[in-house]
Amino acid sequence: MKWQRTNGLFLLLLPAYAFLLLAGGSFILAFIESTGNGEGFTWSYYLSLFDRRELTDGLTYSIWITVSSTVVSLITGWLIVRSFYRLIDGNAKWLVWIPMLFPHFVWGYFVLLLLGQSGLISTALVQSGLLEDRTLFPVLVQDRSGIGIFITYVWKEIPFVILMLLPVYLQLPRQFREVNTVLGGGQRHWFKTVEWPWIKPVMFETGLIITAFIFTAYEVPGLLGVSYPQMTPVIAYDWFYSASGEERSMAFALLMLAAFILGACALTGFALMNKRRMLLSKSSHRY
Amino acid sequence: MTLPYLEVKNVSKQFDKAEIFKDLSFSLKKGEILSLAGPSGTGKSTLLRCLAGLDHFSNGEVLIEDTDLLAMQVKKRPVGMVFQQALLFPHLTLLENVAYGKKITHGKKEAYEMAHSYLKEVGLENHVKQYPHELSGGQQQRAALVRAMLLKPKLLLLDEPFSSLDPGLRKELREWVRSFLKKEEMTSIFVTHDKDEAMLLGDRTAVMAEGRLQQIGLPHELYHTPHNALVAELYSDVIVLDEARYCPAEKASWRAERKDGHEWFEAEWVNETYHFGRRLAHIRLISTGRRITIPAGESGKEASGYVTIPPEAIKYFKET
Repeated sequence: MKWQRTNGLFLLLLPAYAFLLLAGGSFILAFIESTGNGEGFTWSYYLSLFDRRELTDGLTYSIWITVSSTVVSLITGWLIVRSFYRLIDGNAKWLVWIPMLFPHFVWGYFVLLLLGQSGLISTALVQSGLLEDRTLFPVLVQDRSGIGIFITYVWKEIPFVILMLLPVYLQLPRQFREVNTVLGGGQRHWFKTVEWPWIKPVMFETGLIITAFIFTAYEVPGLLGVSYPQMTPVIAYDWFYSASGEERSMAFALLMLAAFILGACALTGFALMNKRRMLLSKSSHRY
Repeated sequence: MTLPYLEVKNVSKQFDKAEIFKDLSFSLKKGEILSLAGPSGTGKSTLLRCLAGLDHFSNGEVLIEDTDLLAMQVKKRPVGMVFQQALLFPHLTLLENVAYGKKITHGKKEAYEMAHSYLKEVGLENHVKQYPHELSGGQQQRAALVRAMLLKPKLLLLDEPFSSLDPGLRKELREWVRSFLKKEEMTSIFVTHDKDEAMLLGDRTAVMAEGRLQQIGLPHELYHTPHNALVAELYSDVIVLDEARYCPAEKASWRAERKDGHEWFEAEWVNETYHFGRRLAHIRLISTGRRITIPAGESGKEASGYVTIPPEAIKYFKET
């Protein structure tokens, strides 16, 4: 019986183990690729990364797009949830799922069709006589400042932020609002003592997911970016498929570095928030 | 004659078209504790919530030290409230929780000093750095009471604060709460649906049912001379004979046969229990289906029989 119990548990966890093996294995192989030069171990690919001007420019560009898109998505999504969560009952939550059905690439293509110089909006403006020529329409996609990428990400991530925060807002402990009121507290105290502590872990997780995704995803900057500067995933992709074996190792080094930094942020954040999260789960409120 | 400290005049509450309570009036002296008893759903908690400002009266006036309480901004009202659950903020320590309200009004230093001194007084000084989940239910409820008291409210509202505690802790805590409130001279309204708790805690008791205060008075007055059938059934150990008459349950007896000259009800024996050495019979009246408890005496446990009442034990409700 004990054997059955132990092995039953093992079988149930098999998919999770397989996934961990796949992800962990890939991670180890990528690390080996990024530190091996055929003769032995080396950090040279990591050290030479920052000698490449295209990368330093691309890094600045990527960080700027990643941070701005993440911050704007988080704040906008948060404000939307905060303003409307009282109006959304349990049955309307499915509406938030609709934007989730479209992949990022489709969303990027949609932005291209809509906001490109020969896109739907410029065409409509020209046909209505409001614009003389399509070339007068501002360059919003495939531009050097990455506006198209920013718009795509913000547009796509706001619903994601809403999806993540909505359950937290719907389950905010309303009894504590009454406690706060009878103890002489106002909106500011409610926010500081209840609302923010409750949403902070989810805000952090959502921000981290969005950051990691934007910083490392290829398809949107691949579709809407320009040839220079390029976002780091596009650079990594080009290096990976370049004829030079050295660039392939550098692509691995670049992605390992990104994974390490984001992983460290995640671990630090979780470590800092775990105690608070555990305490919140012990709340005695009923609604 | 001194003016009442708290005066509630003809307050009513409606939700949409449903009337929760109507024209409630009562007054309290400084330091007096009023137990508000009654069945669930009669608006006792709503009354407290309206006084605290968490809800609104549809009509009426409330004066506290001759000042209009309802005209005051909710967070400025000198009213403290303790809820059914302790509702301590789970991520704040005991000290931070207790000092919470005082910190808002008087700053951190004063709040923490006062919280420390109160926590010492209630025997929680060794737990100041602990989080609520590390405290027992009784300790949490004590902390919730201290948190409300720290603001020195003029009126303290206690909304069934012991309902989430086990019976042993309940007994221990209610005695402690009464002595604490008396020591602080705190004018309080204590909501409960437990008859014993209402008697133990309140200087006076009000019975609220069917949207109005059925009777208000000293605990023994309500117990021995209920004004109507509702109060009798909720608060007293009597057998209600009809809308006008009742009989103390201790005067009734269980018999296999009717007794001449006695009022009788056909009934079924359900069970028996013992209380302070007395044998009590739990009986179901055939005509109404109501269950009553009467002294069983030396009678047998016949499945069916009669509850008999001597004519001299029958009393009349005051309202009739």
